[in-house]
Amino acid sequence: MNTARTMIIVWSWKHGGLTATHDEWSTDSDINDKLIRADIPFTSTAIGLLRQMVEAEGLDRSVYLFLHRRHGYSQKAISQILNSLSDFQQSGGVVRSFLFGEGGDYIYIANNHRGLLGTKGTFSAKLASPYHEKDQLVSAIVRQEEKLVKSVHFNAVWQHYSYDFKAKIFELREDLFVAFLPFLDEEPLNSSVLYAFLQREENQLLFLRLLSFIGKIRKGTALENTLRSFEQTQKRSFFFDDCQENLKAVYGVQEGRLYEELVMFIKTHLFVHDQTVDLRQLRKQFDVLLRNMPELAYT
Amino acid sequence: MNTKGIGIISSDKTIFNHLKRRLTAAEFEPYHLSTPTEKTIFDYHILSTPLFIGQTYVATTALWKKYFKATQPTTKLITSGFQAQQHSNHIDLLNWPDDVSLFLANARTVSEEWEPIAEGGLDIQRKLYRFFEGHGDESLTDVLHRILMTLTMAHDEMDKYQVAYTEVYEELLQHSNIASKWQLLLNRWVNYLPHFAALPFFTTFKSIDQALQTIAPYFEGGCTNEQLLRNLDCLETLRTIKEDLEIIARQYVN
Amino acid sequence: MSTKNYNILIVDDDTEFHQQIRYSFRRNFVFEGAINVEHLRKKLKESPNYDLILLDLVLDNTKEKIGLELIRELNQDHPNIPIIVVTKDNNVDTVVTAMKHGARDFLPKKDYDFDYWNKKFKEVIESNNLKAENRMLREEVKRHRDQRNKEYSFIGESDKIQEIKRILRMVSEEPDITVLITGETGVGKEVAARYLHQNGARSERPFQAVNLSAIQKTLLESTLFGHKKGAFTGATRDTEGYFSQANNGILMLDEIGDIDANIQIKLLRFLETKLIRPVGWDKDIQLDVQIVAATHRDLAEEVEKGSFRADLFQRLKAMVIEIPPLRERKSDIPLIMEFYSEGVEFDTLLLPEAKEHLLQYNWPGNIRELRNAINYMMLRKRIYNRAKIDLECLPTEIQTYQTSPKPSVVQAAAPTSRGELTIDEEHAIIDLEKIEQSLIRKNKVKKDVAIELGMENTDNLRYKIKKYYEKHPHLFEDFPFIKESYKRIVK
Repeated sequence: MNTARTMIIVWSWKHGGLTATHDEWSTDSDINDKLIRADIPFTSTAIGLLRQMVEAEGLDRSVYLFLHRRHGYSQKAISQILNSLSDFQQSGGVVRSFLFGEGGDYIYIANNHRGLLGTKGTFSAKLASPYHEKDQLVSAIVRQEEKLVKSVHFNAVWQHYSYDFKAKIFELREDLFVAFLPFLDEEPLNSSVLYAFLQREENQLLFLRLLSFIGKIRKGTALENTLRSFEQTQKRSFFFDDCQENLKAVYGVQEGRLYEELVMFIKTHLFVHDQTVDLRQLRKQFDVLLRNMPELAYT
Repeated sequence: MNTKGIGIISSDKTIFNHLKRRLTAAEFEPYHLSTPTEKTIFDYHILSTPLFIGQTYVATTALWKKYFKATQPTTKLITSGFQAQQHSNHIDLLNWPDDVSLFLANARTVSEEWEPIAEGGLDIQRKLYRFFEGHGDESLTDVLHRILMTLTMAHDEMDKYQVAYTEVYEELLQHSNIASKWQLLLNRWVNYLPHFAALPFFTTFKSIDQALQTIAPYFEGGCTNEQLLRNLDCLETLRTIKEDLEIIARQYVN
Repeated sequence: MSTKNYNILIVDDDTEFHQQIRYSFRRNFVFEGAINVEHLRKKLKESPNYDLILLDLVLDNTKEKIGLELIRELNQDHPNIPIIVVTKDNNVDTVVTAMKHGARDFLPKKDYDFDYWNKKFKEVIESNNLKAENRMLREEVKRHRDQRNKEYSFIGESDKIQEIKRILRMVSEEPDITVLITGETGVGKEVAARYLHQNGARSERPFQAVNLSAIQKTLLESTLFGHKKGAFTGATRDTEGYFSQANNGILMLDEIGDIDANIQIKLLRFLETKLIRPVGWDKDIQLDVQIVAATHRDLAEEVEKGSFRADLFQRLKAMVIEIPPLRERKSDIPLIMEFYSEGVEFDTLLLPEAKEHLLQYNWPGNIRELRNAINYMMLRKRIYNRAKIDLECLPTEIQTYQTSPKPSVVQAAAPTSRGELTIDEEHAIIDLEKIEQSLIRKNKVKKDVAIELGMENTDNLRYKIKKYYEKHPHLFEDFPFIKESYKRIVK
């Protein structure tokens, strides 16, 4: 990973005073870090603009591109943008793209006091604290006029997103096997039994995460809304839509293929009636995918 | 020693129930341990790994091994989870041992040299190291020491030399930005605390957290109120926190 | 001393820490501060006399412990300023490295304690002052020793002297061997002994020289070996002898041929066992002293006569070094003259006929006589207001000396221009020479002369000069300053 880092955060910065398309901020302790605020709603021209912005960062920087769902960005948009950057990546450019918004994303100060974003296009938010009587204002800004943000906030967000995809897959794997534990006494396992078990209300979140992982949650559906509300209440990100596109377009052919194989295994063994489910095989496919993702699950 | 008793450390009821069922079938007596103490002495302890703490999976085996080595050096710590690894001290839950009694008998004690399996999840030992040693001049312990030094100086002035609090405030506390240091301390504390739940020393962390909440009003008031400083016993509380943290650092970090 | 006068330099990039320390210790110390290395160097350049430096190890954003290397640098450039490391890192390796590099103490900031820190600051400063005093004393001793060594420089480039120097250097590598230096009076036996000391393994250890013939026989044993309080009348306290004072170093026993049988036995015992027993003690003391004996006598002859123990002689003659008389190394005379005339190119002050006389003279008193002659000639030159030293400035015996066949060494041991000297006269000359030199150095102030010569008061000086004058008035011709001051001193 390149040491010079750029975060491009695309959302509505109106309240933050951004009048141009974008502007640049730095951090207070690392001159190599750059934060770009961009207010570019998703339109047909957005992909070209964002591609240019990423490419302008050059090959010696790592770029994290954050796209706000409410600004019109979706899995499809990520797919298009990352695909438009394939030449850039093949030349050695490093880019990852994340969707955020409406949920429990780590980038928000409301979910994480080391976050960067407030709720309305700013770098600050109020947070409740057991150590204070009143809510405390948490700001990622060092000096507005110098366009300087705090490194600790920049670092925390960057670090989290550097392992976010892998951690989400690892957590899904763990939660899935924990959930299936009671059935180990009844091997061989039957897919119908497991499917019925996953559909129980207490397992709803796990089921929705699994559905998102295999790409079965469509935009605007009740399933999407329910999973979104889980994100909001638990202040965590559960959707895999951006993860899938990054696996396919950023990690490499091998990782994309392993992911597709795992999805296929789940679809054909867990989501089909009366199949024998080999949990050890399921684990093996999870593990081989995780092993091929180069980052540590958590740092 | 309870030769049939097994202490189980798990953040998940499903896992505990599964282990309990299997171990009871093998004629062991499993007990769920939330905060193990020296009173609960067992030949075996099973640690479900990684533990789910503060919305994160956490690798804790190395710390638990240190804890037991210090408190129950002859016990055997066995990890259990979904890692497909063969290890004298790890039970793969998808490949339960044919003879669990024999497996436990062959496991090594915490005093023996062995490395835990790769558990996955957040390396809590590394996190703990960062808690104590990381962040340069702004590590939690460093900020705590600076606040403590400043308050010690303030008390020396007031108690040894009868200097008025107003003067001490103006000459020392205000210059030392003690209120903003407190804020930094709290930020770090809030950030780290959730990661340390379900660890051997978490009861200490919980009591530190309670103590910080108790003395917070003095700092929140900008450190201007001498009565709060004295009534809340801020200096002594911070000293105790420092000592508690040093004990944990000595045992688990150094 | 009030600690308030101690000036402490805080070196820390944390300005809050400066302010806190200044405030808390304001009653006890004066503080100045430096926040980085450049600032520190500037402060030390402006005022290099701080009593203490409180040094943080990390002084910039790099977080590197540059302070560790600074300790070395400061110790080298400012060895008199002690350093206490005051830092947040109390890692054992850091502490060990800091102390190895020369820090006096290590105070972790996290363990701040006013009383303890206050005590440490004071202790380190005061122990440093004590060390500085000791260092100054040591330097003083060294200066004194260097001065003494200069006075006793073994001057000479002649083949004989070069060979003797070579042998002495070789012998000096054997710190336990007993050495016997022989030669006529005044040839420089003590100079040779000191040369051996300077170049040997014991050079940093004491050098004691004692003229055995100058000490009363009844006091010789206690003077050499020490005595216990009450061992004899007048022994009012325990006293160390020359042997103890020379422990680990070299003891030169001059005129060893003059000691009586009792002392000979005790000396033999020491050479065989390294043990001495002070007078009045019931225990032996083990010492490590190298003995350099010297005599102008022919000890073999003394053994034959029965006045010197054969076994002691055998011990002493393990390494015999004979210093030739000056007449056998006349090529060294110009060098010696230049040395004793304090760097003046003496040769250029001499008219050719005077020089010729000096080189022809047989120098029965050897270097000691030459040294006196130089003083004499310089004084005469001034008195006669001459641009150069002519024949008239020379001592009478040199002026009137007629070249004659060179006397043999045996013959040369006794005859002088004054005729044969008795032992008494020899000793008188030694004492008078000291007094003469001291009178020159101290501008004839008798009180200062008495102090310099270690006399309790001027009465002792008066008594000594008067005694010698009454016994050997003819010797005073060679000591113009004493002669000139005689009435004033003796009145």
